[in-house]
Amino acid sequence: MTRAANLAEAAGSGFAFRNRIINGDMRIAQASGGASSAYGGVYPVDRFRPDASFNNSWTIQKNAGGVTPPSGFTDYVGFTNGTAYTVGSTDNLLLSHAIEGFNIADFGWGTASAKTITLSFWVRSSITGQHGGVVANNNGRTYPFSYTIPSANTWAYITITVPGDTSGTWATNNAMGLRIYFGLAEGSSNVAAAGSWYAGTYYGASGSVSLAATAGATWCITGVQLEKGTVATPFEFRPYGTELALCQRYYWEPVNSSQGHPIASLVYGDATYSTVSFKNPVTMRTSPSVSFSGMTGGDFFTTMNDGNYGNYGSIVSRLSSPDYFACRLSWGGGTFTGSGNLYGQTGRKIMVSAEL
Amino acid sequence: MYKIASKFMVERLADYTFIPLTDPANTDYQTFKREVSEGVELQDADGNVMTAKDVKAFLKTLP
Repeated sequence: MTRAANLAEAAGSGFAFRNRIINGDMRIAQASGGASSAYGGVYPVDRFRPDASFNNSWTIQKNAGGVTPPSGFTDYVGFTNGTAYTVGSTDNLLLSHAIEGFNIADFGWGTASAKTITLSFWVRSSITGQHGGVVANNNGRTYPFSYTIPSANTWAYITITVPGDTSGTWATNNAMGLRIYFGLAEGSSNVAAAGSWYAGTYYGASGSVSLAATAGATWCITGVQLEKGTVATPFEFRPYGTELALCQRYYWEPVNSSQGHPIASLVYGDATYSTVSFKNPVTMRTSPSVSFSGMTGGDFFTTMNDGNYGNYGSIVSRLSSPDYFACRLSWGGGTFTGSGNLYGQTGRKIMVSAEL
Repeated sequence: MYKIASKFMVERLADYTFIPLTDPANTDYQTFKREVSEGVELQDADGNVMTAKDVKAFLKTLP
């Protein structure tokens, strides 16, 4: 395909929003707040999920190690290995990004007219040599790719062209459409030769280094972009508010540990309970799951009205839809009666997730 | 372990998470259905452990 033809194809879907990756510049970290995440932990930044079959005390964190990002970027995600670990054949250690089916429907994958796509990103590692990953779906279709980091601790710009998959079943609705896995340490059963489509589940490319093998090894990534066509165009920087809204289709938090910060209007029920409804900031991918953290002992939430207050000793979510969710709070004491505003308490969090 | 929280939600007890029973596209719901059908404990709204027969009947009512 000529450059002009490629640009014409890119223009066909609009130059804006050509990047199908959300939060590819790693700016937004709602769940972690920038804190370090480890085995079994939260997303270090929105939309990028760590997974591992083993725990050798590795960590992953937004801006880990205070490395200067590539020009134009302010943030990255950094992985730091724990103790040296030799992976078993079925082990894996991954950072992945899932794209909703709606956002890849125009790729035409699974049909004879499947479009080629190009993945680009900035990456930096203390371990040189071949690294790898895959593009995959949930139905056993996998395309391993590899890339080379020539110099230790130096940012490298990588582009990878992936021919469209004419086989398999690729979701074009709100289910998981496509997932990119960056393999950080993969066992032999989880890798295949780069550059071909496979009917099978793999997480990396044969011959790639294992970051788990070296104590303290580092790997950083930012500027992840996936677009139609064979050319990697410059990274699409979207306005912060736009990117945050895109993230909130999958996850948001109405309370972020700020005491005295009103979070919702509350309807007084009776001496036993009150109810509160939250409007999701955007229509979420599905009816979300609702989690609560920091809810051990003491007063969970406070409501105030004309100087009266009430403390609530427990909270449950009873209804959830893509646009709203509702909770019931059990009375914990105070002088409050009537309706008012609900306030958070330091250390309490509500997490609303419709992740893929 | 899970506990039925309401007609529309089930609670995952391990992490205080409430999962909607009305939306098959929710990935936590998909995991709940798979795990409970494989034998993970499900409690009714009063905290009583449901029998395998009752769990099977309950799952049949879900989308």
